Amino acid sequence: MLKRLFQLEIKSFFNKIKFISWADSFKFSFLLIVGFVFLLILHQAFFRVLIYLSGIEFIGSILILKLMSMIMLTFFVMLVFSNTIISFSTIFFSKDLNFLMSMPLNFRQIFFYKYIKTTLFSSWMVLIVYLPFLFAYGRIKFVGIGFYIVILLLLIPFFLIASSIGTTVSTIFMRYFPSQKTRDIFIILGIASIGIAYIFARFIQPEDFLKADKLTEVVQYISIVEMPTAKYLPSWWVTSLSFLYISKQWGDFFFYIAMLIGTAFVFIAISLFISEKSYYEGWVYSREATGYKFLPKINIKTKGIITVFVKDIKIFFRDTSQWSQMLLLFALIIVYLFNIYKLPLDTFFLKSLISFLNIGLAGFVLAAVSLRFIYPLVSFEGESFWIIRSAPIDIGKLIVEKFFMALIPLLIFGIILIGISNYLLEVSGFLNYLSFFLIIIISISLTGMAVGFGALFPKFKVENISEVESSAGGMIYMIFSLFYVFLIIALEAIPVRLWFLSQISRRSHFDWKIVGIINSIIMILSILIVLVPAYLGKRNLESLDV
Amino acid sequence: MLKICNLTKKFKNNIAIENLNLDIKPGEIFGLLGPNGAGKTTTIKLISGLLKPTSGFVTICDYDIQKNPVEAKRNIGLLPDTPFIYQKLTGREFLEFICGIYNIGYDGIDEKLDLFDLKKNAEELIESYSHGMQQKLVLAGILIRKPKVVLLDEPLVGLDPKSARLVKNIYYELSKNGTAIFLSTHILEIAEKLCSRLAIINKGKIIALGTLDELKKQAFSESDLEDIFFKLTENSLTNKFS
Repeated sequence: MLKRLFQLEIKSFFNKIKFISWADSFKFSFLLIVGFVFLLILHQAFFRVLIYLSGIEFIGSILILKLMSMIMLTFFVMLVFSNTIISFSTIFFSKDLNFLMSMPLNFRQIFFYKYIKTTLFSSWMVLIVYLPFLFAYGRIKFVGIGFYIVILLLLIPFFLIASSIGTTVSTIFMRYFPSQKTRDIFIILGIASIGIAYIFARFIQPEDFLKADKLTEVVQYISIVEMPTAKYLPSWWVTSLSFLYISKQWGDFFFYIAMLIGTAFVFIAISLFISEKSYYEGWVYSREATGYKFLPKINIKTKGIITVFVKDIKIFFRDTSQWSQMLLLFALIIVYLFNIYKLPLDTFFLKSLISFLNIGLAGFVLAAVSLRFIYPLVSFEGESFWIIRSAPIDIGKLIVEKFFMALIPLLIFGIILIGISNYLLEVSGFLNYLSFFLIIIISISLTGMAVGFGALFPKFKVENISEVESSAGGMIYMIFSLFYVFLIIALEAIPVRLWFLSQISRRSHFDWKIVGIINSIIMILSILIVLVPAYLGKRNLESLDV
Repeated sequence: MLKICNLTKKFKNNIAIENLNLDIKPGEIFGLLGPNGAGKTTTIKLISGLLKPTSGFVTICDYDIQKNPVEAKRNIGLLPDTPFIYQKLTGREFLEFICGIYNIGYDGIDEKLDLFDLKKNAEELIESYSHGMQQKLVLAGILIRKPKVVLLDEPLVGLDPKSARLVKNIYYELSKNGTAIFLSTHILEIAEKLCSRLAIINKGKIIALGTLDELKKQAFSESDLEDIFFKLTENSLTNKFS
């Protein structure tokens, strides 16, 4: 029976490919190319770092080993976290569970099936990101194909150990705290931890690792101090196996293989044992749990489209998978501002250039934020969209409601981002006013474009809202929004260049007429970028078969 | 009250509804019967504006649903067969939402929650409600605004016997007060008990229309609706191949 379930998964996968729409195949091909290019760049970066480290006398190979062990440890921790969070959804809350539980399968079989799915979901991305490093390492060590095959095979028990820990944790928690709240708490904690780890990783300034003047201290520190390479964790065993294979130390090599595979078996066995005791009860009681007792109450009596606005606010803040993403966003912004703070800006030219380019960078950040939070706003109506369509609500007013709901936070966010980065860059005068002006225009335009595109390419029937932003429509929006920001910066570069020249030379190159013309073009472009997608989106929603 | 004229709907090469003509009067409980895939739900979606017709038109209280959607929709109450509603709202908030978007007062909310025995769950999220409770909540949302036309797609599915009886009494009361009720179902007993007039649809076409007595004459049968239904639908199949 279990074999049939896995056969079903394989058949579904091939059917997805067989029946793929042109839009999805375009998106997939595009993502494949972009992903491949990104991995290639990552591989080259790793290769350069490893070449540099291997050139260091005496301790070069130790440094490489330490680096690899740190990477593997990071991966291991990430895998445990992501497995814990993902397992809540796959093992306890996936839609097919009612169907599976009604079949003649024992709970251990169902648990094992879901456990394998959890492992695959959480591991594939780590594997993809690890491959560039593995190939870079193999290149500097001149290894044969056997090395890659062996290491990739040994990653299987590595992933299974992390997955076993994650699923065991979630199973135990769900047994004693059987509720969707438990999952939500873990999601929030997990995201907050990733955010803190990301901020911490940036604040320790890893680029100093490679600076010539800092290197001696760093090298001494690493070689003398017992770094947390965690010799009793699978991350160290995989690291050692890479090294031992190349140095042909077969005794220790097979010892670590035995450790890795043996530990994987033990952890899987523990996981299955705990599932026999706890899985069914955890699943069944989670269905009996009632909703949140403490809900943010907005007791405003509203009419018409404002009612939809209030409804959207309530639902947004009650869906932890939505607003918890803001924790990550907060971490990203902290790191962004820290990067600006650390930039060496000694000359007026550099300062001006970076201050101006920062507007573009902030614009790109807003584009990414609008894709994540604003583009899916129409799709958030989900399968309840029939209520809006059958109600006496003008679809145009719905678009306007989504627009204003999104504009206020994005505008505030953009202004704060530019305000703080301008303060750090010590920007004043013309550039300062210009940056605020542009970020306001960009915020309004991106909001309008995101809502419009979201209405043009809605996806009401998705299990996970992140499928909306990663759809073909989301990709099209991303391309348009990035191009728009790029165009704004390219246009505004003309008066900024003139301003810069007027600052450094006695001859005044600056002409307010040019500023006026360029910014008028920008205004017209921005108005069009708001109105056209909104109009097309409205037409689409009105004629959509629901 | 509800007029359907030459209504046709095609999905690519498939004709889902063909040349539908119906006129539903105020106070009438009209039943649309048919087997699975006959076009019942498509008809209801076309009336409520959830689908756009390929040709023909629908008017509700003289408002064309496509040309004057906002005015037409003010007069409609729709209960779909699987009513997906906002899972992260409480029952009370959902009714407040309905009152808000239809611009009516909030006074009737407690009474409707009481009527459908939902008061004790009113402050819980809808995601914790059973299918039947969600169905009752949507119905409460319809009754609270007293629409002139009520569209019901499989109206009693998921309701316990007590709720089903309550709901049937509500439909009778509504029709007595002049509300036109258009319901689609494949459960013949419901149609037989509730409806004053019936239509049988098969493969997108109306094959019989009238009161129960008129249908009996049409089918040359004095039996119950089930026998009439099978006779007429089988005949329509036979006619196709003769």
